[in-house]
Amino acid sequence: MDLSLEAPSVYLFTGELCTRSYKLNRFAFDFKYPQVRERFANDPEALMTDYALTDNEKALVRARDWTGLVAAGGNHFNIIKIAAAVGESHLHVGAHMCGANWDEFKQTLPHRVEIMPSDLPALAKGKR
Amino acid sequence: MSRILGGIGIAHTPSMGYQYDKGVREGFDPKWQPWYDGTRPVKQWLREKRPSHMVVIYNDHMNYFDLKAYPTFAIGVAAHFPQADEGYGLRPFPGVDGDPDFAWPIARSLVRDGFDLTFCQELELDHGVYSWLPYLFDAPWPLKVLPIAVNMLMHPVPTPQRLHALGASLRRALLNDGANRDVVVLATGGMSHQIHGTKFGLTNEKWDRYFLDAIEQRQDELVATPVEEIMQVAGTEAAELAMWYTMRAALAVSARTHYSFYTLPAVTGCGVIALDEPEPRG
Repeated sequence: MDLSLEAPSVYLFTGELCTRSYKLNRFAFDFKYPQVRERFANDPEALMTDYALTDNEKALVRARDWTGLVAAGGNHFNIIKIAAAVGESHLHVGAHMCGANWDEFKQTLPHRVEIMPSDLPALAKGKR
Repeated sequence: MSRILGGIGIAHTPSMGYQYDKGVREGFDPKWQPWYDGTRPVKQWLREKRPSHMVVIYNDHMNYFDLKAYPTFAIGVAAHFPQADEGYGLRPFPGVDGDPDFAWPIARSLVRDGFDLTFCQELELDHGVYSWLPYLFDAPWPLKVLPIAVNMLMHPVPTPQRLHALGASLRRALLNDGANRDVVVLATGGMSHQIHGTKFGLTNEKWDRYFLDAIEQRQDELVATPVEEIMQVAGTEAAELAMWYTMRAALAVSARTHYSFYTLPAVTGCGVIALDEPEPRG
């Protein structure tokens, strides 16, 4: 199995990343407010412009590209709020992350592993 | 001094809360029935212990704290903490009461000990608290809650050693607060899980069961395990388990497990442990 803590296995949300993608995260966070979700439903382009998203971020939102949004620095807890506003659960987002068909993906959950930290040296410590 | 009655470590996950509401309405999903059944003995233990106050170490999930100013450690000093709306509407439960007279001496003591907490006059609690709360208590909630929120989302997050030290300081604060309360210390963090990236859905029952066992008498072994290694074997979001060290360090070394339980209903390992604090020697 893949044990790396690097993309695409893991998108570690760091402070530096947050600073770089702050506007995207602010946009996504605010989906917790009903009035923001309503504005998104009515005029998504105006809302995205108000939050000063970049052209690339806007395109990712239009495409419902959840993986792309997280890869662009969106914290996944924020990005799933946008997904929820368009009727997709965090499991749908998970399927997107894995590039999997949703109906097949949900049958495979959870993905069980049995390794322990003491198993790591042979497996992955060298790679870090 | 307040009395420490015991400690609880428990997982949290949004689906735990969702399945509770659905379960009491129309019967529990077969995957979640074991978690409901498995938490009954903890509810009974709490009923017998009769705590007046509960310190809760948890993390928010972009539901209350926004990124404008993100606290590493924050303490809720208000008299009331509403439930946070995570974007799906509020669940049918009241807010939780706090107790400023209990909170402030503890906050003061923690700062004196080197933990420079953010003081929250307002704080809304998300599924980090509400997902397990109704499994352990019936509303209206029969005790006052002191929430301590830890940044577990934006790295760097506090080290395991620091979270353990927070527990030791919390113990000192409780035993010297000049008050007379019966306190349970609870820490909550999802066990194995990862909910982003291509490792979405990763769980590790073997790790989780080891953790539940080791937290009793081998806390040093756990604290010495780098968080990165836990994230590798049990999923990045399993880093939240480090908050359990705060609970464990708030109890006596000689505290012993009264009960523990584990099940894996969905994509997050769900475990709970209740530890008895030894009776103080008279």
